[in-house]
Amino acid sequence: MAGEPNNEQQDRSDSGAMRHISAPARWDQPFGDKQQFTPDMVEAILSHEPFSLLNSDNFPAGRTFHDLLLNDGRITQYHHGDIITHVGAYGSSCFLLLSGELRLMLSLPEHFDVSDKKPDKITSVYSALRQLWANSSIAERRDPSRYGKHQEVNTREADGRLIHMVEDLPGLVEQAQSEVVRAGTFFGEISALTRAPRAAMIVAESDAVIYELRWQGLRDLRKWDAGFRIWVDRLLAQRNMLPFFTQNKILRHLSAEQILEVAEHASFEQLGDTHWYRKSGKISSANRVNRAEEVIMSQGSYLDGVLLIRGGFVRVMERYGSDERTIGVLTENQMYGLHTVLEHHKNPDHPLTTAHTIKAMGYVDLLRIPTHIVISHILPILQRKGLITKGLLEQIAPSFDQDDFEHRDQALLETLLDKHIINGTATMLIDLDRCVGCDDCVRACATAHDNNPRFVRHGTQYANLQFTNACMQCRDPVCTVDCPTGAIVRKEGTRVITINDNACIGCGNCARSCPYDNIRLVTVSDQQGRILMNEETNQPIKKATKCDLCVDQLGGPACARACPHDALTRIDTSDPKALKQWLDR
Amino acid sequence: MAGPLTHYFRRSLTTILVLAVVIAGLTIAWQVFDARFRHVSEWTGWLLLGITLFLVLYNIRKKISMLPLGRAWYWRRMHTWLGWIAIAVFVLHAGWQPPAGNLSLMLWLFMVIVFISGIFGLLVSIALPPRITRGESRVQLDRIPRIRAGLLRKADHLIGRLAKEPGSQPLTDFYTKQIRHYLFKPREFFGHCFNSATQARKLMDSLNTLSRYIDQSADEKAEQLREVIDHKHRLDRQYTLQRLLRIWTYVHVAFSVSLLALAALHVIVNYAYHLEIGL
Repeated sequence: MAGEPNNEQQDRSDSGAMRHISAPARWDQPFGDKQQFTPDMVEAILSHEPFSLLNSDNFPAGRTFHDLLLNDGRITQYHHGDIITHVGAYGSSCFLLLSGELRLMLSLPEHFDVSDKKPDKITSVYSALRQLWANSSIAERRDPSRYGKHQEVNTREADGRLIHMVEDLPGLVEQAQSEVVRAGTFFGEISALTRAPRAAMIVAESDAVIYELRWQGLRDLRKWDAGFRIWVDRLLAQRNMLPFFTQNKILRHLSAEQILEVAEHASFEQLGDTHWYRKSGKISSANRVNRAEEVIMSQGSYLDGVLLIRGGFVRVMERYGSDERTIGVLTENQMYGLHTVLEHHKNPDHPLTTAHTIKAMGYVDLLRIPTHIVISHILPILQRKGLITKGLLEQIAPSFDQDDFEHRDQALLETLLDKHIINGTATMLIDLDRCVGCDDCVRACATAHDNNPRFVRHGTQYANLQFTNACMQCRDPVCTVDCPTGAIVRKEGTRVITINDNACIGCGNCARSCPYDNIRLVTVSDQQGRILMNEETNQPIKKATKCDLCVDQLGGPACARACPHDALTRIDTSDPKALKQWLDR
Repeated sequence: MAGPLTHYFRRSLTTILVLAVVIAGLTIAWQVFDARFRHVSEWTGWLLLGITLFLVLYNIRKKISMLPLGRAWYWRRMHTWLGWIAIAVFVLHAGWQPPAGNLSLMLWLFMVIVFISGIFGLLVSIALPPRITRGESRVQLDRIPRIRAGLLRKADHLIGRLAKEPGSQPLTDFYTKQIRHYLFKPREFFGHCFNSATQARKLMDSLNTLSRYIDQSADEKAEQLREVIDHKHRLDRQYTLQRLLRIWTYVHVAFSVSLLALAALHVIVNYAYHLEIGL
């Protein structure tokens, strides 16, 4: 038998040098309890689109869609007031409402909590100055009355999971805009497929049974079954494509009909690994991230489409010596291949081949618009509207000229990419050639956070640059993915990731997920300095803390303002121009 | 010109030129007014006091970091420029010679100490940070004692594991008498300041000599001890340079505060004296 050790191995295992176990397999731990899937339940799932479109002939032997549905899905019974999705939270699954009714909250009243009672912004000079004498000498002081009973949101446990509940749903519905979601509705696919935060909160209006399919299952169903994929992609296009296209500086000039036509031909692709951060380990200790990145296009191959990046990062490489070197990176809303199509359009002798190798850095989701659709639908509009300008193209579709490359610091670029520091939109960068170690930055941070500094002046170093252990406010905030309560979210309309202290249950998922070691779990105390203990387990209550970019302070990040030697900045590390400007200051 | 000036040097050059013009202007103005008016030293005194008060504001700005009063970097630059101007005004006001009278002499001395410590601070804050990170990662100052203690533990452990045999005795003795002493606390402050610390080199040379008297297992430990000594040497260098970057501020700030008090006293005494003699 394959899993059984032979005699020699057994001898060695007896000696204590090693122990043989069967290799872990994908579905050793299914998403939910498979016993829940009664034949009636499976039939109910398969009676609704898109699952009714699944064709067993499309799946390879040994992997039926039933396996996928049962192992990557789970059934949850929700009760009136249970929250299914939190607005702003990152989710990695989609849902099918099998029975009951839900309430889609299109807006939420301003005072509605899970939010923090703390004001968003200190608005007066006095309240800022007050921190001088009102800050606590007690480390991580909290007001315990803010936890638990006064929340408009409460929790219950079901199947080992924590489910949040709205206590007064009718009252909430009265105060906010909402829509009813009826049985048979498929939802949540945008977050599951694009790694975008949930756009709205969804609450159970009545008792409801929901089938939840995790991202991995959705990916495989789309991969093997064309009918299923087309249905889901069409839904995605309807719900998400139009807003996405209108955000793009080039594609927004297309009319709604043209966008739908382009979207019809475009393919939505997810490449790489959404859980790259789990494989690479902590970046601060790892030498390099996994270089076995998925190739999207190979240098010299036929350019079958223009790529439009929706999320994640794309590494652009070219052959150099015996290997390939990185010459740039593309991120959301940027395109690849437009230059080549333009050149070919101007001069048909120009080959329609890719000049670079394109790889998915960790995880990327993108749209591939076929070359012929770009030529027939997009180029004429760009030409007519005079949009083919060097400035706009460099912004949207960088050309990666060789001359430009000569001025770059290759080792710095590789460091930023290999350690995935490029993920940071507000990376704390310290120039160690200027830093005198006065700790004014740390003191200013502590002053802004009730005497608790939210970063450690320590971190990965490259030459004279230190990528400090402060939350970088990532483009792809993997810390938010596994938060069970939606406490760690991106603040609406900003790049800032904030932790709602009231909703944080101290599970530590965010800290474990952060590849940069920038989130810390702390023990909290009450106003008298008594450590808060969990009355059931008699263990200290823990809360996740991290840099919040001084989102509630006057004047922005205190650390950068406090540095007397211009040695510290908060910078978008994916913006090479800003980085170069700061390095050349 | 050998190459294009960096932005930093262009900015520094501009600053020096502007400061030179301002100081020259002040000197000319002083010469002109000194010839025409009697109380020019009174004006330079008030000017100096005003500048000193503004210089002290920089420290207050650092304490109230929560207010959006502009970046500390701009404040520091202003502090430096005005510091240079203050030196010029001080010379115009008090001359090059130490004054007579205990209070005036003390004030003069304090002023000189503040200027010298300030210039020293300016120089070390430019020169030392690149030296600290030259070729190695920077270690936070407050972590250094812990790392040093770890090195000592590691070395103790290495020697403790040596069997009590004649072949290891020379190493054990040498460790107890010299290496342990070296590892115990930071050494050669001035040596590291001037990049001339030699103790680690001497210890390693002694270990090399010692290798002919010890057996193979002790020699392996000696090799590991060399790594520990080298690490300690680099740690001491970082410790010294980072301490140096902080120590000067204690002198500068303490004397600045005392200086303000003395300056206030100086003003009171002078006006009281002038009133007394009817001027």
